[in-house]
Amino acid sequence: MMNSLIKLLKVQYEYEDIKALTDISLNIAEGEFVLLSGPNGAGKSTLFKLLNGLIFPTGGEYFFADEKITADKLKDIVFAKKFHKRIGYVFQNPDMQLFNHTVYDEIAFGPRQMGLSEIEIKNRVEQLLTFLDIEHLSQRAPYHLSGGEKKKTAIAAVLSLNPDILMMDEPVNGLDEKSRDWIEQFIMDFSKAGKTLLIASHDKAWQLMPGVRVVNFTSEHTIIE
Amino acid sequence: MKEKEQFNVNNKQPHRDIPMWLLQNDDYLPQKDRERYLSKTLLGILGRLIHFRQQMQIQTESFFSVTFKLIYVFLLIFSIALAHTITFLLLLLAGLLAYICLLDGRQILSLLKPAIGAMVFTFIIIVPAIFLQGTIVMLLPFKVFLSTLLVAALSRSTPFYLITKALGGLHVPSVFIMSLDLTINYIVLLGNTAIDLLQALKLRSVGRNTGKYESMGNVLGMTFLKSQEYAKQTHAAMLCRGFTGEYHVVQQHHWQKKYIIYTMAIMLLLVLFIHIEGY
Repeated sequence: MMNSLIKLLKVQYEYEDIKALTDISLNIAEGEFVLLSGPNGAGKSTLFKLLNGLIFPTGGEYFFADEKITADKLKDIVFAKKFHKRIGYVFQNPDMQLFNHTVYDEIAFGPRQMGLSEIEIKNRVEQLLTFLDIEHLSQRAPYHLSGGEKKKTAIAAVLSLNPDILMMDEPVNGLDEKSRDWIEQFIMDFSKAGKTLLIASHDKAWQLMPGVRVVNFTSEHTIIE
Repeated sequence: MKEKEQFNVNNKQPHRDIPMWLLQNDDYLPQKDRERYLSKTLLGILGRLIHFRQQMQIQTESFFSVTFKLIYVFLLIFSIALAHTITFLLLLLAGLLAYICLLDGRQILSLLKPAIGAMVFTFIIIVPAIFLQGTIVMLLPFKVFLSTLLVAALSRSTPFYLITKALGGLHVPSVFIMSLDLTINYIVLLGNTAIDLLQALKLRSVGRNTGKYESMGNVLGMTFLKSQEYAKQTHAAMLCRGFTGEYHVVQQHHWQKKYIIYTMAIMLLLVLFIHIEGY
C-alpha cells in the first residue's frame, strides 16, 4: 500500500460567488499516474492552483503528505518553500513560466536556491538537458524558442527541483505532432520509473495510456471516477 | 484499436535514461528567506486586476445614460474650477455625501481613499502659498477633493468600456478612443501575464534567492517583451481585418422623453451656479 501524497476532502472553491470546484474528494498515492479529464472550464486549472497553494479551499480540506495545507501554514516561509519544492507544476502556457535569460539559467534557478554547489548544479542541469534532448538550446533565450522547446525547458526547470509529484496542465496543447509524441513518451517513461504524475487534459486519447487512473471532471465542477 | 496503438510504447523512440537523482528523494530543508517583496507585488497587481474585473461587472442599467453622466461630471468639474465662493462647493459636497451614504462601507472607502489622497497631496504642495496668499488658496485642496470624488463616483458606477464608447458620442477623436480601449485591454492582459510569471517565480523560489531584484527584473522584462509581442500581433490582426488608420465608434441616438429631464438637470446646475457665484 503506497503512502497517500494528496488528499482532498470535500473541497470547494468559489470566487466572486461563482463555483469553480464543488465537493472534490480525491486521494493520490505515491507513484500513481492520475489523469484529470474533462471539458474546458470544468475546474482542472483551478484545482491545480489549489494543489499548489496559490489559492485555498473555501470549503473542505486539503492534505499534502498528511499535512493540512492552509493559508496560515504557508505563511511559514520554510514550510512553504519545502511544500513548493515537493510539487513540480508545469503551466499550460510555458511562456508564463520562463523568466530567465538563458535555458541553462532557467533550469539552474531552482537548484541554485536549494544551495547546491555549482558542480552539482552543472551536473543536474546538463543531465536534464541531455534527458530532455535540448543540449543545443542551453545558451538560448527561452522567449526565442518554439512551443515544443519552451515546453521541454519548462519541464526541465521544474524537474531540476526533483519534485515528489509532477503536475502538468494540458501538456500537449498547441504543440506539433513530434512534440506531442515526445511529451507523451516522456510521461509514460516517467510514470514507469515510479514517479507520481498528475496530468490535466480534455483530450480523451490520454485515457488510453497504460497504467493511468482517470478522474473525470464534470461541467458541474465536481469529479467522478 | 487504432487509438490504443497511439500509446504503444514500442512504437516510439524510448527516452534517454532518467537521471538517477530524479529517482531518489532529496533530503532538503529550506533556509529562511524574505518573501514579502513577492507577495506584496502579487497582491498589488491582483488588487488592480480585481478592480478592473469588478468594473466590468457593474450593473449598466440606469435611468441616466453614460453620455449624460459624462457631460454632467464634466460640467460639475468645470463649475468647481470656476467657483470663487465656498457656498457652491459646500452644496456640491452635501449632494455627494448624500450619494455616498447610499453605498456600503467598502464602496465608500474606495471612493474616499483616492479623493482624500489627492486632497492631502494638493495641500502639501500649496502650504507655502498659504503663508503668502492667506487662506483663500485653501479652496484648492477642497476643489481637488470634490473633483476626484466625482471622477471616482463615475468610475464606480460605469464600466470603462461604456465610458470610452460614450466619448464617441461627444465627438472625441476615434483614434483617441481606440487607444483608450486598447490601453484598458492591455492593462488586464499584461496584468494577468505578470501574475502568472510572479506565481511561477513564487513556486520555484524554494530556497534562498540571492538575486531577488534580478528575478523581479526578469519578470518585468518578460512582461515588456510580451507587451511588444501582443502589440505586434494586435496590429497585424487589425491590418488583416482591413484597418487603415480609421476607427469608427458607432453611436445611435433616438429621441427619448428622459432627455427632457437630462436637459432640465443641466439647466438647473447652470442656473444654480450662476446665481450662487453671481456671474
